[in-house]
Amino acid sequence: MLTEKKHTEPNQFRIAVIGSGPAGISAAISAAAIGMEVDWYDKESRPGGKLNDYHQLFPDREFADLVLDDFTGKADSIRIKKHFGTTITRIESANGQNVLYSNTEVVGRCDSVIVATGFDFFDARIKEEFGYGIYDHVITSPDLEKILKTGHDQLKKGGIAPESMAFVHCVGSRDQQIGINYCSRLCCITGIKQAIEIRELFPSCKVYNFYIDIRAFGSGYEELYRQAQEKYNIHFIRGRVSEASENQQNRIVVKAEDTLMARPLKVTVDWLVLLVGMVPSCTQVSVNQAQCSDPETGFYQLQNPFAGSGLEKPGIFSAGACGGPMSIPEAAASGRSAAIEAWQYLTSR
Amino acid sequence: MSGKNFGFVIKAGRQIDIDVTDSTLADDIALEVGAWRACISCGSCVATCPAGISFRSELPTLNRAFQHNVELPTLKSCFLCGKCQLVCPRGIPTRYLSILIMQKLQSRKNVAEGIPSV
Repeated sequence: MLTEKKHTEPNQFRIAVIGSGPAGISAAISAAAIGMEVDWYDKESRPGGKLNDYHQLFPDREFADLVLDDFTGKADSIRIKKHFGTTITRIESANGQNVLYSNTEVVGRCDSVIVATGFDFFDARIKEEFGYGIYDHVITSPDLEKILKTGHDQLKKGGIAPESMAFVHCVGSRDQQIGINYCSRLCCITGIKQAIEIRELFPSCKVYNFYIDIRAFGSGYEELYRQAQEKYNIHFIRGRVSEASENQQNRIVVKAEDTLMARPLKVTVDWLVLLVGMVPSCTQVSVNQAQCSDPETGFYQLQNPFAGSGLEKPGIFSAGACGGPMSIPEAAASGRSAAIEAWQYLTSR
Repeated sequence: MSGKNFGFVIKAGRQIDIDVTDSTLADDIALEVGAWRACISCGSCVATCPAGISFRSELPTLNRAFQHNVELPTLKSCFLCGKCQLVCPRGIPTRYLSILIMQKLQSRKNVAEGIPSV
């Protein structure tokens, strides 16, 4: 209540942030900016999470490295203690005190926790019909992102630029066959962005995107979609790929239905890129032995979706894509809001 | 192909085989009207057409299913009223495109038949 104002100093509170992707970084920066003492954990030895593997970010094509440098620069605060290389597996919460465990070992104690463990990419091998893990020239969108980052010459065959490439949207999204009914939201725009990059790198390469619906929801996304069609001449074909197979020239033959023409369709491509969806991270932490996840999606279940971030126990908040598919700006905003909520919780309890 | 009977056949005429598509006409048209590629297949143009033409399906046909000898007979009944252009959410100049496509097709036909262009 606003009427009884407590006199609290921020630095009397110790808060743990688990994860160092965009959400974790923002949460740590914001919590430190409020003045709280931050313990920052990540399973990897360096911060950034998946941002480390990205080349350019949609829709404005900023370099991921620069964005990450900007983030981590702001996280250089004496209030933030970094404990990288530590995997937190569970939290025991009692009487407003939280104990963090890495398996059986106690690694920290704190007043509040922000969980920002992110997501994993869908394992495309599960959709066997696309041939990931079977054919060398079937790759996923994170694979392509790494190739673009480390040198696109890997896409050439014998020094020759690829003639054609196809992207399959919704691999591991909106698919009852594999029990994933939700939309991962960001694969569409990833596919659009990567297709544009391919057209820029190899102007003679024809690019086909097989989609169910194009969901270009974010600011600047629709504009990028139109650019992809109009300026870059990327062929968007409405229809789900039924199967991919390899021919004797080691090229991939893709079969689908062109549903707008109501005719079956076949195309041979040099590379097939699967735009994989987002699934809950395998490193999700449990709270008092409970998984706190939504039975439908497996992502963390928020107690009050309108407030944004509260998890099962008071004082434990989630931020970013561990609560569901999210873009980088959304995850960063979610990290900031979780820090504010933690502060409100600590000062009002 | 003969011999094995798998219990089904895919009719060659129905399947779109992008590998043998002739996209030169589509590229030619896009050079003049780039906005043409921005079609999202909403079907507004078809729904509003008094001549019953499916302009919407001309884009995928030319882009993916066009072969040298294929004609686009539906466009012949277009009387250029321009209603399709008024409703297009992507602002594509469909009326002009209708003329352009017919012209390009005709000149290709003329070349093929050895008729000198005017």
